[in-house]
Amino acid sequence: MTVAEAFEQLKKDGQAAGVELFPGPKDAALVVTRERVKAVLRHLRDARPFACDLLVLVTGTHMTEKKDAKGVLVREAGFEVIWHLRSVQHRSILAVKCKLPTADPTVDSVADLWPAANWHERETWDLVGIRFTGHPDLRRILLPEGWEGHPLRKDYAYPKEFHGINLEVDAPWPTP
Amino acid sequence: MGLFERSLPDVYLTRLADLAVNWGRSSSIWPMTFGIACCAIEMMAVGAATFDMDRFGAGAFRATPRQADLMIVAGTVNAKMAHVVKRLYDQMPEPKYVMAMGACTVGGGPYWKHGYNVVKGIDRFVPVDVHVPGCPPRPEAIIEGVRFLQRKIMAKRVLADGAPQKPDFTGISISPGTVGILDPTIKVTSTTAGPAAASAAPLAGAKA
Repeated sequence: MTVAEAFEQLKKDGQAAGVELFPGPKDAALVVTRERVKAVLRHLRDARPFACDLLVLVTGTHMTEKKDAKGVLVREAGFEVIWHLRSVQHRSILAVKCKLPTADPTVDSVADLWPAANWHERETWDLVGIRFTGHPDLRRILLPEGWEGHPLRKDYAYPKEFHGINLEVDAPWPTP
Repeated sequence: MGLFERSLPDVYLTRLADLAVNWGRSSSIWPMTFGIACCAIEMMAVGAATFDMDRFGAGAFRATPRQADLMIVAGTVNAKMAHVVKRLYDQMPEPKYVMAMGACTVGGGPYWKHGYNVVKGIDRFVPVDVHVPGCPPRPEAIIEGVRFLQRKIMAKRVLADGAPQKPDFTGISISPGTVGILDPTIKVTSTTAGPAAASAAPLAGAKA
């Protein structure tokens, strides 16, 4: 099932509210509003035509504002969360996206729908700083406890030191 | 040497005792079984039959820091890992030595500029005796590092209370490309490529 077919099927099922089709050449996706995203993902998992029983990944991106040569806004600043779903039964893959504002990057957790989402959401929180409401244990997963900031954000400031260890690039060579 | 550490007069007898102790120490450097990243694969190769670090008495990899003399830090150390490495170093009994193996531990390596969580050189939290550059270093380079360390140990004062001696690093390098990193006065005698030149090249360079 292609993404366009999935969009048509969602319309038939009456679940297409708040869903848009992003018809990319290679990266077609369903773009869902923040309020509807969990209901749509639940439908994609449970409804027979989709049967997306496997969550491949959850990830996030942070994008800055982009304008073309004439100064027209091409891309708004903000966050985006991406879910890749796979149906073992139908041998199909589906991408779902959700755009989030810079000021409040919060979205519903799907850790209760797919257990695999638990660690993926923790990683997305750790590196991009997207908060998943309803997550059972939203802690950092890769970086140590007490780390400041989220490294994959565009405005991330590199740490000068961590727990007494100098992390600066141009620190003086230590004298023995 | 505990109680007598560098407290006896610097005479012939104590110097002779130092020589014996240093010979023992430098001939039985037991490294810790401890690999962090890809450099550890080369470290394992050094321990295996082809290169066989046991020829230099440094092949007995110990599974605990309590029995180890040498910590070969083989791999990228990040901020989360640095405390574990520091703790392992603290658990080793004296005398203890550290080899920074590979570009990451020497100075951050490929993560020097944009690795936000990588410690740019383990010098920043443990004292390092030998730096072995490379990404990862060839097994010959690690053996060379061990031999540099052996010369350093031979120059230590154990019982005698004298001025520190300068280690003699001449004639230990086995890979011509890395000669002279520690001692710029060592001159490479032959760097020409090719099997004939390589086999004809003397074991390292002679002191200029």
